[in-house]
Amino acid sequence: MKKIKTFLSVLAVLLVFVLLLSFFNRLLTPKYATELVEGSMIAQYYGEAGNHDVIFIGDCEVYSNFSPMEMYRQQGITAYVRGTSQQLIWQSYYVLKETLKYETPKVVVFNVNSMRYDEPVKEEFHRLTIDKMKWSAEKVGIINASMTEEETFLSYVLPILRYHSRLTELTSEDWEYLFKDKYSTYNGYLMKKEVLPVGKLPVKRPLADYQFSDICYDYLEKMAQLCAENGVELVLVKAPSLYPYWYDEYSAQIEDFAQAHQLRYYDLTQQIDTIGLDFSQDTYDAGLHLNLSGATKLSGYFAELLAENHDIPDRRQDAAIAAEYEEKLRLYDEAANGGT
Amino acid sequence: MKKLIALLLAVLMVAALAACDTQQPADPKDTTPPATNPSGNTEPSKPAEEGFSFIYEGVELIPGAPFDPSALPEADSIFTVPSCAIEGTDNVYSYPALELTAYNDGSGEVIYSIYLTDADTSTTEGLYVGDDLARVTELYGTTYTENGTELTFTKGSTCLCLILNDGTVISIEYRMVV
Amino acid sequence: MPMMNVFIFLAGLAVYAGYGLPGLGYLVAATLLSYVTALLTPRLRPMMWVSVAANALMLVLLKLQPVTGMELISAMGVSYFSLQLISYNVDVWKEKYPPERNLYRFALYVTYLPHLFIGPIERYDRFAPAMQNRRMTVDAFFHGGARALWGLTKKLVIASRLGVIIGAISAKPDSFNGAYALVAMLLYSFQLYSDFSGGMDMVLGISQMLGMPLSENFDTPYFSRSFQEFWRRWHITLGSWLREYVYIPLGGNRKGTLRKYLNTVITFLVSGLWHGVQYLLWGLFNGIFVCFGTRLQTKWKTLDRIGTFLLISLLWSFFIWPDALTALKMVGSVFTTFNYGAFFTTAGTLGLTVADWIILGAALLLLWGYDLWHKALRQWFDRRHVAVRTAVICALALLVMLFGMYGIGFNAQAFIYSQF
Repeated sequence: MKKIKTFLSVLAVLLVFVLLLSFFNRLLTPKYATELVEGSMIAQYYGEAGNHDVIFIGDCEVYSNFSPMEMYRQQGITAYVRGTSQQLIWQSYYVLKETLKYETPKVVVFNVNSMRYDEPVKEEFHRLTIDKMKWSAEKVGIINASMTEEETFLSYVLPILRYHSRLTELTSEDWEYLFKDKYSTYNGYLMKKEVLPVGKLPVKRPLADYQFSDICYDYLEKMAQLCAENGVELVLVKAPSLYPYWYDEYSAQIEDFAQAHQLRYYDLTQQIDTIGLDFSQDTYDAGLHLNLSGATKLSGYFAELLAENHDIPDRRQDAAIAAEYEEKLRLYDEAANGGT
Repeated sequence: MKKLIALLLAVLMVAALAACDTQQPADPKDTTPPATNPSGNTEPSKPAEEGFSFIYEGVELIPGAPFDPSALPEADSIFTVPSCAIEGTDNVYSYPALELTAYNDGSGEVIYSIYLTDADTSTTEGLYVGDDLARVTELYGTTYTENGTELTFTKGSTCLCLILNDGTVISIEYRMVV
Repeated sequence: MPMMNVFIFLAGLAVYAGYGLPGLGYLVAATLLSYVTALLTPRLRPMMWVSVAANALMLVLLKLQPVTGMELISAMGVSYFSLQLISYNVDVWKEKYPPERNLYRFALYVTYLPHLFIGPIERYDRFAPAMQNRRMTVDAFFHGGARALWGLTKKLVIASRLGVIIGAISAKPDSFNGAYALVAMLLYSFQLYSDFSGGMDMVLGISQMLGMPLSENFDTPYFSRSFQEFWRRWHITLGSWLREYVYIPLGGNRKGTLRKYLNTVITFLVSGLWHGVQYLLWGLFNGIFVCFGTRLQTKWKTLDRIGTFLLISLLWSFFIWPDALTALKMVGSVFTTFNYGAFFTTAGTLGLTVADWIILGAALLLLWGYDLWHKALRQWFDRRHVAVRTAVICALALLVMLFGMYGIGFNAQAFIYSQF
């Protein structure tokens, strides 16, 4: 009897410890609610997963440029963007794998910009993609694939080990969003309305080596395989941007890969005039990403391509979907027409 | 079983402890964790070996050295390389003859690279875009590393990187070695 | 529990191998040499010198490396296990105890994981029976666990924070002298103590969890009234090793006052060399202060303690600025460069945030209180219910996780999330 009592009391203490630990884990992890909102994109999807005909995967070039609301408005396409900042291709693979557990879209559009990066840029970017991801085999995979030498797996399990120094830098946001989340995107599209016209860009320098790394090809191959296994069509795209330069040599390699795997590849850096983009007013950061005005043009253009070349159906006749999107469009337009 | 767990825990902690301590001696050859010296004092750094530099408007620009934009005439444009979500810290300064890329190391701007953009501007030693390989080796010798079409001459903590196309120099850039 | 000892033995070898196979090779060779020579010593007494000379030679060569520039293999913890091997061979030679016939038992003494890297330096006649009779108990497990976590707290909460300040000051000796140097020296006393004694707490705590008590290395040294006392309470196992295997063989205090002083100074020079060739001067000063330190004692205990602490802090400058000349200059600047006014107006928070200072201050108070009452605190802990002890351990774990300075977020400057 005494033994059981002792056991139970120790158990109670340990329980309190675990509760405290998880409280601090939550408190100290950045909330990504009003600042660096890019960090909450990955989690927003869980509440909206299912029933999309098109899924976009990639880095900032997908969540800044492709607006699913506009695609629905113009072509009745249901789409979701699963993009995160500086999403490296091995991360894209795991994000895709996770997405396919929630739904099976008709088309997955992958933005190939990340083919040029074969090593991590900054540890902080991993956190934006991974911190809010639900625990799953994919999360374990994405952590192991992403970690830099100085990182430990444990610091993803116990974020307190990474963010403990924030204890003295907590803001009201940390308390306000302690037990709830705030999301900022419209089906994964992050709306930015500011205009920063393109100015003088650095000169386009020749590169010593245009060849994409093996590791990038490996993951692109894996993504193609994953889509094939799930009966999903993979479409490769390079979003229109003026900088960093997307070299013809890059495009040729993607073209070769697409042909070898019988995939479609759209190099939209070549279609800027056709789309009608004007980088003196359609960009919020001088030529890298599109603002709302640019994204609206691009999304209309791309939705047409999807409908025509990939048979993506018009869902506007489906009453349930129409009702859902009517509400979504209302919020979207409110934000679009409101002050910046 | 309990004991095995205890043992594992202990081994883990010792490993962690050892890891803590191995980080401390700054000199990797230091075979003994100093008994009373945890601060990991570094050896006095060796004086930097002479590197490549480029003189522009009377100012010597050295990759890896601090950059003071006010020492040069005003740049035609300054391009801050943005990135998604997180602010970039690299600036590209455009001048009529070159583009200088600087990054912020926390205490100020440091020159990362100097890229010659003007066909009429030569390196300090006299190499122009359009020169051939023979001219390159005449000026810089044959001690270089080759990566694809790029030849890299290293001197101290700087390097001169040349890209050749069909035996002709098409790109000249000074870079710091990281 | 012979099986568990085998596990511990193998774990030691495995962890050691992780630092490089050449080092492991040296460890094995030194152990074998010491074992074989000790076995032969009763019949062939000069054999003792073979092992002692080999171990001492290796140590001296390693320590002189910065001067000679010789490339030697890197063997972690060589400073510690070499001293243990020497003590073993000498003890057998002096017939304090017979040589160990069982190679495995002897090897366990050398490679015992907890003390392999940073000591304490154990003697074989104390270690071997304790290892054979090692018994894990719930009480020892809790006590050891709490102690190890407390050690980690000292290292991560106090020592790492102080390291930021001292690193910033010591990086620029030309501009940060005078008041800055004095502050660095005083704070370094605390950094060194929290780091080293924290490490020892971890080693002893972990060993205790395994049911194996090791020798104490610290006994609240900064409460000492003289240098002599300080060296009996700081790095105790090194001090006692030096006394037994250097000072006494030199004649100790049996050959007159002058010889006693000379022997003391030689012993401290050896200690300086053991720390590294650049610390010879530090050893010399310590030797001199130990010879004459007691004469400076007054009848006021607190005054003696403060005086001893200040002198010790000044001497740590040889560890802060590894170049002896710079260290001397910095000590001199404390008395000649009166930039105290500038220091108080411009020094600011010395690289730490205000919050860090508060945490540091609170932790130092805690350390001081613990050192004052550690015996009573430990007894209190041992008598508590298991649940209370669990709670204390959990609280310590949380404390160190929250307030420790470690990991990627460590460097505030490079830490992007500081913009939150």
